[in-house]
Amino acid sequence: MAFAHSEASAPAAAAAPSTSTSTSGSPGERSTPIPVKIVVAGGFGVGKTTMVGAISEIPPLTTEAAMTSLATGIDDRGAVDTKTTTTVAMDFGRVTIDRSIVLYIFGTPGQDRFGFMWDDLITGALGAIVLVDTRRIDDCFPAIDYFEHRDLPFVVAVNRFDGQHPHELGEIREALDISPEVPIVTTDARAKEAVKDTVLVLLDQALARAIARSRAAGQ
Amino acid sequence: MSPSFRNDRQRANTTRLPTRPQPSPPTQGHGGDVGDVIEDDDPVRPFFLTGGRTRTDQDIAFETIVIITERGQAAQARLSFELADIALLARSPLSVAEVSAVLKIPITVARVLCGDLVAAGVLDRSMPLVNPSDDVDLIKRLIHGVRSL
Repeated sequence: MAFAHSEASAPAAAAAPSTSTSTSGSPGERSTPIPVKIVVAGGFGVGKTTMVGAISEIPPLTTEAAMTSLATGIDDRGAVDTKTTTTVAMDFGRVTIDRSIVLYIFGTPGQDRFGFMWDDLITGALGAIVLVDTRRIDDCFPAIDYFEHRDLPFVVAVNRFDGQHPHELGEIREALDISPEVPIVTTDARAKEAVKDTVLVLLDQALARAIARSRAAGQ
Repeated sequence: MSPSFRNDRQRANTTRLPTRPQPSPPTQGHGGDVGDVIEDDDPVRPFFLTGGRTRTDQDIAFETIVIITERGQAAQARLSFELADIALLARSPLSVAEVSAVLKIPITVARVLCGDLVAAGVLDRSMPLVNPSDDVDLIKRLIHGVRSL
């Protein structure tokens, strides 16, 4: 692409608001906020978008990713690498934390078959919330498997559908077979306060972990 | 007999939860439901915009925030189509994911176009931290911010 690069021919820029930005320096000094990302994972229809919308300052936005996956297999033309293109939707919201931090909350595409997209999405994430519907608890198994194998703080949040919560959290923890360090809470994906609390449980978990790590590194 | 009687009573009150099986090694799976899958559409046109490229030399994440530069403001009138749209949107900082959502272009395409505009000096970018989950100060500020929402 060709652009005119003459700095001198930019008088209009002088009247524009300051946009001087830098990709270095401490967050407090920057005029462009740094993005922080957390992800909400779980089965289809568990309430990920609802949860994003409950805390987001904007109605959840949808971005579509056309994804090409390469599958090695055998079809009627013999052994081939088959390319399949699928479009998946991700919903996300935004929370302005302060002048220098914007929190983005992404709902993952629901299924494990999009593992490679998750890698892309999860890179650089601060942590994850795995949303669970106890009526279809096995829907969340791939998400838990995924985060257990990543070095990333995550919490399990059991979404109460219309107040029903027939299972004790201990029973759910047992069924999920998650390690004792992983917090498990109930939440209401429709309610801002409940979602805030869930995000705070994740952040507390992340903080405890970060402090433990910095101490370990200091020794 | 009494233990099974107790189990039956439990079952009457609550359905039993299936237990998560031991995870098998990750596979390039084709199983599962179609969940969030949108009906396959034609991805050709968006990728025409990027000359078929799905990668950019610039490091552009989903949540990378872009904002127009002074040079970009000067060059804006000479940008065409989506590039001009992106430059216009980026008068206030926004993420590449938001660019994708607002302009209704796939995120892959938005990343390439934003990367091109960064390379051309039209946009500045603010990248996510490499290891945010190790940043005690950042997490404390997030906790403070979320509490006061």
